[in-house]
Amino acid sequence: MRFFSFYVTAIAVALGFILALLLTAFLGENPLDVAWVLIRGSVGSSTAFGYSLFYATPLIFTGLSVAWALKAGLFNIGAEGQMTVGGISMAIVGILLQDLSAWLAWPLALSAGFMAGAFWAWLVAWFKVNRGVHEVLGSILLNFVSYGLAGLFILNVFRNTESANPETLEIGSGFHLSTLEWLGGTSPLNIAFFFALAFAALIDLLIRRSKIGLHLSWTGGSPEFARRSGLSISKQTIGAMMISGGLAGLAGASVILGYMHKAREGFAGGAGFVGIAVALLGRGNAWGVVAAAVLFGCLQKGSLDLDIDTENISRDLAVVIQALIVIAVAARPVFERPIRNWVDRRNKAVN
Amino acid sequence: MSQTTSVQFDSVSRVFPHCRAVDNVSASFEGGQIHAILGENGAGKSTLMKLLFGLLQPTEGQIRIRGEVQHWKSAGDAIGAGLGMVQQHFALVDSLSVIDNIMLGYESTSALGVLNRGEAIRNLEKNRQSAALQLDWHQRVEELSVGEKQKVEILKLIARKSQILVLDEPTAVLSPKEIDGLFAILKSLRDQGRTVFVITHKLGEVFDHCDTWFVLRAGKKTGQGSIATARLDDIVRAMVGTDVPPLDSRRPAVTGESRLTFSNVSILEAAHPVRDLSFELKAGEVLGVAGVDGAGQSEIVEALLGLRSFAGEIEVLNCILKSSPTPNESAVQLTRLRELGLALVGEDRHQQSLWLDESVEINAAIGFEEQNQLVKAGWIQRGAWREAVLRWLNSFDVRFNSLELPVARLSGGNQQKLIFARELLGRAVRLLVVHQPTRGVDFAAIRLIHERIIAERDRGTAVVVISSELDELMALSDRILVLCAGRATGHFYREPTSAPFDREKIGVAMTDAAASRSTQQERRA
Repeated sequence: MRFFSFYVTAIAVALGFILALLLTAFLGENPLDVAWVLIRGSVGSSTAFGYSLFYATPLIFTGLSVAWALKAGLFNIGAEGQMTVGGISMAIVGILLQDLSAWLAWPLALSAGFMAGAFWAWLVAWFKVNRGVHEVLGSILLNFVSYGLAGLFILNVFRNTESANPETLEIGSGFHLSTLEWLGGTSPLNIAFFFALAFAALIDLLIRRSKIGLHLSWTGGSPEFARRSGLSISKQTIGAMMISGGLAGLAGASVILGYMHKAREGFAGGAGFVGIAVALLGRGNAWGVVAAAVLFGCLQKGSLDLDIDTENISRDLAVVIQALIVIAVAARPVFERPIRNWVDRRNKAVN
Repeated sequence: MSQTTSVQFDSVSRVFPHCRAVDNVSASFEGGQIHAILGENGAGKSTLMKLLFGLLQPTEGQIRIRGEVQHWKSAGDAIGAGLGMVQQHFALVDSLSVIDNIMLGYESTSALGVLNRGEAIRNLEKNRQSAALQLDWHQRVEELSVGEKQKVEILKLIARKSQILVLDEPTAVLSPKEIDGLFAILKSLRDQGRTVFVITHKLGEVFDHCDTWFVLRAGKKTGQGSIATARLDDIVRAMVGTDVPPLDSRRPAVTGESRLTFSNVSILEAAHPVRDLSFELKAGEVLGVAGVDGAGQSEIVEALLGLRSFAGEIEVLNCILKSSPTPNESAVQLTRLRELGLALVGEDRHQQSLWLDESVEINAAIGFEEQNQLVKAGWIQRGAWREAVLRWLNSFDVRFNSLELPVARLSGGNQQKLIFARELLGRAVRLLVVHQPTRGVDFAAIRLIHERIIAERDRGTAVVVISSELDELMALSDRILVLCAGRATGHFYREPTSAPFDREKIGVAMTDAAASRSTQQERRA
């Protein structure tokens, strides 16, 4: 069953790619050339691949965040906002504690990011449990609040007045995450990528092996049964949202602690929303989320070269491909049935 | 009375990708008779009837109606050709009147487009033949009882001049008296020359009211005959494939301490309110709760789980329940009750007792993982879990291909046995609450479930069985409490005779006229 599901998703992804490349043919490009540019640009050198993984890192966190909430039957559309408040909190800690050494600074900054994101999502859960506000509404509205809050800190409280850009002061050097030259060449790829992998491993273990994970997916999978077995749906909702928010809160670490070393306006850059697509593509499986995030990271990096290397198409093709993949995955049932029938018939023939 | 062949199946098969739902069935049914279509769940009864209706096309073979091969492609064609069906779930518009429901889709209008209700009523009065089919034509359907709604469905078929009528499990929702009324109507329709098919699994009704019997098992015809010459054993063997031994004679109840007490309990904020209910259940006895669906049974179960607010006092396993708990308080309280030995088999097993997309393995133990030490320090003990689950499932004879398969893929009987195994095994159960123990469950599984319920009682567990099947309750219960419209309308004790309960008296209590009238008045007030 699991393998079957993997194949169907892989077919959906391939279908999305092929459709997008065919579109480029209408724009007067050779689809094979376009494909080559995408591949060379994303995995052609260690620096290129480093960039791809760098782009993938926040997507792993936000993908895990959305996937975790989905397990509990909750649609956390507010990962963007939770990432924003998490990132700002990391930056604030880093600016205020300039002289902290790395072994204290890293855990402190990460905890600040996790807790800020968790708090932001707790608000959503609180409104849902006590006031009946649907989590989609609550989380999307809090996104806007978070943008305002981020603007307040970046443009007023901690603004770097020396800089022409809308950005904060620098964080202390103890907070800088180490870059990984051996893997990513001269790209800004940093240790946050491995943090993300560690969290994916942890989430995978929790979902498959722990009581917390079991009860989480039970609440999402069969809420009335869970309620009649003594589970508190409101507690489950609050817990699930807080962990989801915390994961999203960590998504800014790679960019802020590992690359910019400050917070800039709009640093989240839509990673919270792409995380929804990543979670869908990963089908609620932590390693599936990692694979989907790396795929989207590669797309993002590979498409940058399209601006230079092709006449008629720009980096926006990446967005088109992403969209087509999501549509193809959502349309799974359309081609899942014929494939399943074909597999069944073949099995029968073998027997 | 015409004795011509009305419906004939010639080597009919219907093949689905995974199974032969109907397998080479040949049978002919005389016109002007009541035919009982019997078989366990999944035996192919509904598929056979869908073939008759043209909702499905046979893969092989053909179906002849009054000698003519049937070629229609949709239910519309079938209705035009004089077939009619009453589904288990009625297709009625609650806010419209009886006559409007009957006319819906077949309206006759005067020149100006005004509905011709008078003419429709005159036609019905002329054709209905039986006094039992008398209804207030202008009453709104939502005010009717279940039995009356069924009459509306039958009247719809008469108005459409259906000659061949199919009723799918028509008696599941009726009280004994209403069942007799229904068959009186069906007999009058038969005497007018119509052919009636009744899909059922209640053998009692078949012997009392039907003319012929026909059994399907696993898609194949396993028996057919006339009721006049039929023996019960033959029919049961055709349905199950083997002889079923009768339930062992039970030893008298040995009761102990009190395990469940309701004192003047009212549950008013509910779809089916309960009023002033008191009873006590002791260790070692089975209390049956009888009543047609919607007499307050679901509300009582939710109240004793602590999931609903109520007035009065409920004591479960020596805990006095909070009368209006918050969701978090309910969860804590219910967890405590389950630790004290509460087991529950829910009414709607797909919603309330199973996690359909999850594996058999998880479903067979979830909810009791801590009590059974299948989780230690927050981590699932895979080996212990699997080993325990295999033992439990075998002990309840649950048939499955793989522990990893979603539980939704099991048959209804196996699902229900799995739920009983999970709730009863691996820990000390002191109170078992069972709501609809055997709804949609095959014969062999019913037998096993009944045996295990009695075994629990003999072990000293207090058992509540809530069921709308009176036969089941009379077989299992030491006492029967009858509910009607949220009130207790009777309390019956088992007599040590061959007929331990008085079926007729229980039936009267189930449809207690006084109780239903008073609640209707309250609802209007």
